[in-house]
Amino acid sequence: MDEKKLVAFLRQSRDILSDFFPAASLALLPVIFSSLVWAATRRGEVKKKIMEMKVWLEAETLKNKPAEFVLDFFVARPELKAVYEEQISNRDLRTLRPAFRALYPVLGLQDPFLEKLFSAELKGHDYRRLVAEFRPRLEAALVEIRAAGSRKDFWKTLEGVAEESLDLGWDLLTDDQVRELLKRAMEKM
Amino acid sequence: MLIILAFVVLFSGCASSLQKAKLHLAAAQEREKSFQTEEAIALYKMSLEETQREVRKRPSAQAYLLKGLSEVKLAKWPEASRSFSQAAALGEEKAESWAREVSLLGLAISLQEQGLTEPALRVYSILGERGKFSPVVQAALGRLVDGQLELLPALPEKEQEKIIIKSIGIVEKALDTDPACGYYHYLLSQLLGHQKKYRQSFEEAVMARELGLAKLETHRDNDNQIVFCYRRLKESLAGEEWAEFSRTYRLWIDKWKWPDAETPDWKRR
Repeated sequence: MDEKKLVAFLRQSRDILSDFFPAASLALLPVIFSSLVWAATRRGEVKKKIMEMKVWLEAETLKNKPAEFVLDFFVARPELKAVYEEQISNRDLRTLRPAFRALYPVLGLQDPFLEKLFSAELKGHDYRRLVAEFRPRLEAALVEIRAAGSRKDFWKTLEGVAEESLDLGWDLLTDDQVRELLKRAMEKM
Repeated sequence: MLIILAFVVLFSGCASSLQKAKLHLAAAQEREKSFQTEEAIALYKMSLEETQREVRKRPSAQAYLLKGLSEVKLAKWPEASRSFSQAAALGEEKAESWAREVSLLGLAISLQEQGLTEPALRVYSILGERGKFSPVVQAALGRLVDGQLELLPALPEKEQEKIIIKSIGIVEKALDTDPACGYYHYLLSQLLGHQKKYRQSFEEAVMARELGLAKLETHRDNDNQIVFCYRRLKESLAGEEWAEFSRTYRLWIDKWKWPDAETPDWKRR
């Protein structure tokens, strides 16, 4: 994979899609990132997958987990265990439950859109900030996407970007490698 | 052979939006039945786009019915209710009761979003018990169970147990009617987790995985439940009991091609 080519492609995709989003958009890069991850990891059925992405955020997963599940989530991840050490040892679920609601979709379910939306916090291991920002930032991003999605040709344009990205050659890369490459390249945009 | 080929080419080229929508819908249902749920969702989306085109050009009861069915599958409840009402107005009889159920579900969702949890849960409960339209019944039950679980932290332990037992009863009743519904097994697995019955929770989660779950997020959450049960059982089981469970667990994760006991195939280490 030629990184220069990838950066150029990402710049071009950003320029094409930026017409659909407001200036200094929260959602633009997460939309590009998640659609490219979807495309690269599900080669061959890009069109169907990208269309499916539109229902990705409509959850029907049970949000209310038992205390043991919540504690296990924090204990099993050393990076979280360090940050929430006191709350874990005190079984302080009043603090841990709201934190879980923000951190579980990002770290537990590995939603690529949310990963990119909170990439700065994840990179800096600033989990408390991610928790504090989760709801307002997600809502603001969804407002932007709804507005972009209602405009003519948005999904078609996004689909085109994802389809074109397949020509960059992802074939031998794992999901993990795709995400890492994209993250690195996006920093150079 | 040539005639068939010509017919297929001709048909695919000239098929109306309604025909295309039917084809997509049938293909989506086939995929759903064979648990290719991601593909099914994409095909429902394509069917919806065709029916939208059709109702603009030639509105008919059938077109609105197909549109409503695709919208239901994509969790677009208010749109589905409107489509079924239109279908009923144009003479499609069964659409009337579907429209009622879908619109009740939409009402309950909006009540819940406005913080009116109790009346919302009552409506979910009615739909869960008396509903006839299976996508609505499933969505209502999921929301009912989650809504009940949300009340738990504020309640004394005895009350908590009562709510969990009641919820299990509701889900088991739904499973009696539709034992092959992966989503009901997922719900049951989650509830058994609340009861700390990790072996049974694991078994239900395996059933859910094998039968298929409609959304990737639910599929992943179910996998996390499997790993969680494994960890809890590792702590609590010993001797032959652990060895037996461990063997069973190994067979399943080998089948699913997980790299190790605590890492589902989709998870990055």
